[in-house]
Amino acid sequence: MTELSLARGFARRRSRIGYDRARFAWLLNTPALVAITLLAAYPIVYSAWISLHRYNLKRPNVFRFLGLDNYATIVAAPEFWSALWITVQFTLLVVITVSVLGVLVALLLNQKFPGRGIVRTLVLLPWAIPPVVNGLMWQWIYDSKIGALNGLLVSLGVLSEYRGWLSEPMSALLALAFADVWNVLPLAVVLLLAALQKIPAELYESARMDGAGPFQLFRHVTFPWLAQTLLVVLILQTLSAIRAFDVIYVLTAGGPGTATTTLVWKTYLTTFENLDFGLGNAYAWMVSLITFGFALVYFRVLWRRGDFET
Amino acid sequence: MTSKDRSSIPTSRREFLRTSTAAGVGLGLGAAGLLRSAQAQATKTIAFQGWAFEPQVVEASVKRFMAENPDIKVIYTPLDLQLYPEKMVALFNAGTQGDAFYVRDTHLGAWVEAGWMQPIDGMPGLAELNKDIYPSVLESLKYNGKQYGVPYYGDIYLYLYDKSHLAQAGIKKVPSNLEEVKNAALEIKKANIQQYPILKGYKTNTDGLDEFWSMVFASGGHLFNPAMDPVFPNEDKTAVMVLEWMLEAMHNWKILDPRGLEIDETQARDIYLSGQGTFASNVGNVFPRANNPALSKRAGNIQMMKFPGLKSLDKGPMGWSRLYGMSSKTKEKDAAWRLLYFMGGKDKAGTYNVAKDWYLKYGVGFPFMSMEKDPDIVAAQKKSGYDLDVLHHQFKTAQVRENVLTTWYAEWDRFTQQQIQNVLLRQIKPAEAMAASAKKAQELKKNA
Amino acid sequence: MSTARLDDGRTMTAAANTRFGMSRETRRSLLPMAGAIFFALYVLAPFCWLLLTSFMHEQDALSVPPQWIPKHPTLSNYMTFIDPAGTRAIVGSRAAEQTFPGMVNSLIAATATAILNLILGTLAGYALARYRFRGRGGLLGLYLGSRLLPGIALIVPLYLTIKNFGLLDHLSALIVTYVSFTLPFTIWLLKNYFQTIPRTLEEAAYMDGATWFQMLWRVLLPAAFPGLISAGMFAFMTAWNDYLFAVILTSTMAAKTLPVVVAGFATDVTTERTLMATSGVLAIIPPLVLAFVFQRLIVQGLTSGAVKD
Repeated sequence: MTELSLARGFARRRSRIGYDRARFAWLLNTPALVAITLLAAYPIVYSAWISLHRYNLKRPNVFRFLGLDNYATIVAAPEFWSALWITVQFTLLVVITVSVLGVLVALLLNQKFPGRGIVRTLVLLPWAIPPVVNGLMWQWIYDSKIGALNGLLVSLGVLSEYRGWLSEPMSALLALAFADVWNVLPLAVVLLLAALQKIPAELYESARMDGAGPFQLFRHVTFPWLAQTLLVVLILQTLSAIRAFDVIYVLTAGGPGTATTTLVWKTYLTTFENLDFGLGNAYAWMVSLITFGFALVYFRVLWRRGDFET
Repeated sequence: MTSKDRSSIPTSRREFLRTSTAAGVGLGLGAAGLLRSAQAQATKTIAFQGWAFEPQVVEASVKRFMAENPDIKVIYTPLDLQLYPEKMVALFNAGTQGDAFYVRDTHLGAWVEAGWMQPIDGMPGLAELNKDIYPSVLESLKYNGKQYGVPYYGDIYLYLYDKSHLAQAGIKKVPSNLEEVKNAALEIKKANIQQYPILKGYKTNTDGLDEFWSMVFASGGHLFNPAMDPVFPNEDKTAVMVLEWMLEAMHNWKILDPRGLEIDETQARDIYLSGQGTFASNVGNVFPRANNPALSKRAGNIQMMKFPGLKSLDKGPMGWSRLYGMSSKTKEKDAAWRLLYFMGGKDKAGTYNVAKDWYLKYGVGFPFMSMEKDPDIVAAQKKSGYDLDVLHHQFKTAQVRENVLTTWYAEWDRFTQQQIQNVLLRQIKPAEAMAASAKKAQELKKNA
Repeated sequence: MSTARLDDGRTMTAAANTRFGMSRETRRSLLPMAGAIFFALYVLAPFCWLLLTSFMHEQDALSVPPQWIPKHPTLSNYMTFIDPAGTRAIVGSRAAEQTFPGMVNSLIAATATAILNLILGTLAGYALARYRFRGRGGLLGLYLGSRLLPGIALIVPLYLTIKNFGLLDHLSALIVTYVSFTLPFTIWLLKNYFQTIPRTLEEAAYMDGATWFQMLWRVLLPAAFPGLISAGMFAFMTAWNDYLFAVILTSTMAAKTLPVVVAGFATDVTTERTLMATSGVLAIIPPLVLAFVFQRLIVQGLTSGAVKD
């Protein structure tokens, strides 16, 4: 055979492998695709469709196509912008705190020390408490009259008298964020810890031999490896923070005033209290858009770093 | 039975045994026959849903109903309390709602407009029942002139005080209007009995305007006219004046606890019962709890007064109810009605057995006027320390929130709560807040 | 006597390493230990309140100032869960007797969700990690995109879907719902994790004559063990904690999960704080037990030479 036909032979074989591989890849994905679309497709399409209509359950016979009018109504209302601002504040507070704390704690738990197993187990505790119990627990802690936080701070001498944590706008938002951080930290720690455990020891060794100190180790060895997982953590935490519902439901119900009324809270009120499904679904899609926006930013920042196809 | 037994039993007893056995067998066969014919009558099955407040009590009531009505089978499903309306919305949407279910008076308008309920006017026994229902409760069962349910319970908002504090401060006369409350509170504060004599929870809640409505009503004021247009803030200045009183109480006279902004009714109740505050307003079933030594640190000292308004008038507080309603899609209207009649009315013996049961067990307000004279109930009320004259007066003069049946009530209620909170946070003035609330009401009414 | 390697490659004996009577290893672990103690306090402090309340009587739970050590400690709250009919609780005896069955339902739902996630997620994750094919990015985008809409908007149509499948009030309804929520993230997590495992491992397995499945089972998955556990934990805990969907999709104890049962301690008339606190304490036990078991397995898995080359 000539060299040309040999080469052509090789090329054909490679492309055949490539084709089979694609089919195999799709095959592997099929069960997951089915599981997800079966349950997600209808509700998502339904929600989008309804959001384009005037549909209030109190007037169920009215179902008028509005195009994007619902969205226009939302954007024109000052309550939307107020809710948006509060959502952004809350989300940034929670996500930044959780990410930083999560990395620190994961680094901590990656070290060897006696009792590490117990602490690693304890990490799950905040995550394991059922939502309603969790909300009430924080309510009792923050209670202005019989709460543990007040009791603690007064007995430590930090405060002179009991104060209301949830009765002032800024304080309420911070209190909510603190409670939410406590709640969601375990997820970040678990994921980051799993990623840290994969970092080959030789990378640290060789960097140390090059004279790297702890900060440089983190910047040049740990962080690139963590980048992908950190991206996942950021997105998951953002999703969770934007959707925070239980803590708001129990602790502040969106108050005082509208100080803790987030977009999701507004969605809930619109859909279920006012029974305005058209507007409520439009709100939900606005939330999706904003989440998407956050995600795009994260991807921009973190996707390229530490991309290591082995 | 062995032959030995038979032979040793005297004849008369044997006779008795034989006849009673025969009778028993006969009855048995007869019963089986009845059963078969009842089944041939096709047992009607109905589904009944409510929020899960003490479901075992409801189950017991349902069992009694089924014992009295063997041809009806009731499948009772208690639904989660927290998200009951949301869950019912999902059920209605999918068509899996029950034949009968609980309804909150604040949702009645919305649920009727959505086409989920049917009127029960003219059903057997209803007119008779209605004659005995408190006026405010009866009003809340109707929408646009038609009646949609029978009462589960009816209750009023109360204004409570601690008589030991008043005695300690040397206050002889129980306050009868807001000015007198203010003076009494100032005395109590001066005597160092309480730092903040008035305790009230202002956290946003589904229908959290109860105290506000009660104060407006007790002052002889109105918020809405029959056409559901707001008469505040200008036509009827009561609303603004009440709000101004609250603002002064919190920040000027310092008798109203500012930390009330972060507690809701239930928390306020628990805090009150643990000994803080002198005056408080809360729902009716708090009273028996307040004087129950197992639950309250100040049992025996709590008394109720006529709800104070700006002036001492003979006007009652706000009252509300919860109802049992019937689905518009039920296929067993007759069976569903009989269940409603039993739960929200009388059993076969003619007693209000379900309502009485609820009251005696949990202090859940009863909706029927003649129950005031029931000796068991009077005994329980005396034990709880009620001043029965005041109680009966308040129930009889209670008023229904004027726009509670509109489809936009819930939204307006929440918005107004936020406005009131903003006033108490000193972010806006009472007049502004009421103007915003009125504007919102007009908007909602227009878009309804 | 242990030898330690200094940074410049020299070796020293343990005796020479000891300072302050502690070995180098113990000294190295002082800082992390201090950090661990702070962290443990941070986790435990709010929970402490729950724990203490579970041993109090209802009135003591409301006293001012709060009682740090219960003045009249009692086990009656725990007894309520063992013998609900004998409870002195004003409300909540129904919720108490439903707590253990609710826990069982939660365990079943969460475990099934985790297992399904791991199976389906491994397959899809592997494909996305190792193969370059058209639509790869789009597929991942589709998975993640399905999670953008908040749950509130999904309740009503989801209820209808489940009803049409005839699965209302079935645990399986919850399981499929939870799987659809968590699978996109599990796939993403596992894809990332698989990408950190060198291909050389797989190639070595193939050269030893392994089929694709054998390679997966014997080589890749053991190497990816920590990632699998963390993904499994994520799926488990998401299912364990869900309240919104459980409330909407279930009505009876056939399918009610723990969060729904526990919410029953708070009614509009009363909140049995002590009972609710006790239920919270009981609720964390299964996840903590599982976590303890698994984190041990992770340590063993790592030291059993998974990534040694």
